[in-house]
Amino acid sequence: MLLLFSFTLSLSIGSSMIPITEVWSVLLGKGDEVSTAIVINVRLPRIILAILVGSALAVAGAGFQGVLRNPLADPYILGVSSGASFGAAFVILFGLQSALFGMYSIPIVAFLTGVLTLLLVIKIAMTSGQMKKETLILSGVVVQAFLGSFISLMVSMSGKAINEIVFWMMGSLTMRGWEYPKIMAPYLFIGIVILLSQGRALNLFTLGERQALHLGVNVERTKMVVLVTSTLLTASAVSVSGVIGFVGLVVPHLIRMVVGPDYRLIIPLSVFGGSIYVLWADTIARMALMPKEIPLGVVTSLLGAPFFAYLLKKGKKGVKL
Amino acid sequence: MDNMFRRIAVLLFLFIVTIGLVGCNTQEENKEESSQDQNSSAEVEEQEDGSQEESKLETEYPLTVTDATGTEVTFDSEPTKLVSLIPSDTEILFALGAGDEVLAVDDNSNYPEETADLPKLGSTYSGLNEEELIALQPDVVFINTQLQPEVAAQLRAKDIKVFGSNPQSIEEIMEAITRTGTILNNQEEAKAVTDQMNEDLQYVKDKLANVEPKKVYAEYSAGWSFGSGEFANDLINLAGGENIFADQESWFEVNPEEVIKRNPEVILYTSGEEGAGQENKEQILSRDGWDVIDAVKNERVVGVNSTKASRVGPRITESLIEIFEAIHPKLAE
Repeated sequence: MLLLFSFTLSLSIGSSMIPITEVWSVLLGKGDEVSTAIVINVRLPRIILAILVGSALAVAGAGFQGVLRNPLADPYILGVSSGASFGAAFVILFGLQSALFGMYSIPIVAFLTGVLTLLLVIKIAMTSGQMKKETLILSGVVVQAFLGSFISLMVSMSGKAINEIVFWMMGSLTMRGWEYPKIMAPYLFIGIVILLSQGRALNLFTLGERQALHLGVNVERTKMVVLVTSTLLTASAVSVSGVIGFVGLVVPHLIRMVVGPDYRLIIPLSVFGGSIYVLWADTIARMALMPKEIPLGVVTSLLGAPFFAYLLKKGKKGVKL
Repeated sequence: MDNMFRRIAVLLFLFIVTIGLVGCNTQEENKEESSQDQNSSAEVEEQEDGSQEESKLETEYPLTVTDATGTEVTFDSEPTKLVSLIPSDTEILFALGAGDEVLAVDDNSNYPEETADLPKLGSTYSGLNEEELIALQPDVVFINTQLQPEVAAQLRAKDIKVFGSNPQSIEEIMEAITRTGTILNNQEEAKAVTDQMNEDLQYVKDKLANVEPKKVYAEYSAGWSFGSGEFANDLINLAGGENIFADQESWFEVNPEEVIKRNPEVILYTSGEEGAGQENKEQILSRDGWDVIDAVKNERVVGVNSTKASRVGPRITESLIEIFEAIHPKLAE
């Protein structure tokens, strides 16, 4: 309900002052040419993409938090965002934006390097066929730091007044058109279904891996399924939007504060929570300084951090993270 | 058989020698031609020297000039060991015929072609190689104080003579060229360059007399444009255009809805040399929702050489003509 409300409201307001009545007549197929182009071909795909990216990040965050049983876990903790940024920075630095895969060069390369990074992290963390969550997090940190230094190097080498790499990393949903949501939607759907099926196992994980094992959970397999699915979701989101911070960290926590620690609820509700969060953040990003854009990642963190701090303070007594 | 083999060998030998001789001949001819060229051009110069004996502009040293940092820079004699740390000044030095006095340039100086052989001293963004710069012992180092706000003080602290410029308009670029010409005692050359630039300016002004400006959206890179207060914005105005984002300032990422709403008649995008950047055009033409923009409908999406347009050097009026032709193709015919 809240999502539907946000959706219509966000569609109605925008930097171009189109009255709400005009927006509705466009939706009913009676608007003039310019308004139709703006609402249907610019604003609508962007809103849908915001919803997709938001839900992907929030669900992936819930997945990572469940498996790693670490309240600080977010979709980027295992270095996926660094990997994707590395790929994107490489493409931008060498001017290959349209050389490799047409206009999708950055998304495709970023997706691939993001996934490869996770494989590398898992490879480092794997000792005698087992992955300890502590080792996993540490190897994520190591890989992240390593790639981070390369990204900084590329930023310094690019030598432009407006640094595209930096702005890509701050996240944005502008100028994406219809193609991006179309490509992303099926991945997201499959990913969410897989994670939903793991809700019960993740609940048992909260007792500890050994206990989960005794209760009949195939621990290593669940871990792998959730990690890989969450990573693919994250990589698909990052590859189209850049690095959008705080969504994957905050939203699952918010949901947990409201409904309690049941992953069978947290995962589906994160889909909606993430959607609404990013949708509003992006609406602010395109509205606040119009006709200029603010990087989306800036808005999500700017809103998310203080809000989260407030909830922490308020919820301290009752809710345990 | 033996005889036969010997004959073939002799024939081959003769053949090779002939080719070799022909080759040498043509080379020598070329040499003669080029030396003749040099002679004739030298003669022309001498004749000019002779005829303009009285009016020839000579700089008197010591010369004191105030630069863009407000510092009085004194030259005791004609500087002949030059370093430029900014592409626009590199272009000026070469345009003034002082290219062979340039010892080194920054990484981004890539015009004219001769700069390829010069030592590179890094760039402001990635760091300058100060040690090598000091080792060169240049008479003067040219910089741009807007793009390199701290470099002048840094280098002066190390007793290097720095001359900073910061031209903000075509007129100021011409002033900077004249000033550099005076410093280098190349005033004649400076006059030739600025005369040509004035001619270019006048050409565009004449063509645009009584012409309504067209609405222009200029894209620096995908989704990025600029407002007033930027040199590029002034260029568009001079070229008979009106930036649709003139109500904004500085560089920023645009909201695509706003571009559609403001409906530009011409879209300019940055392209490299020789039509590079064609994919930018296709990307702009294929953006969802942009098909209702006049510029897209009429395929008035034109590439502009970003190097020329962004360097405050002698090629700025070439860039102006290029932008004018992009905005008003019919007038340019």
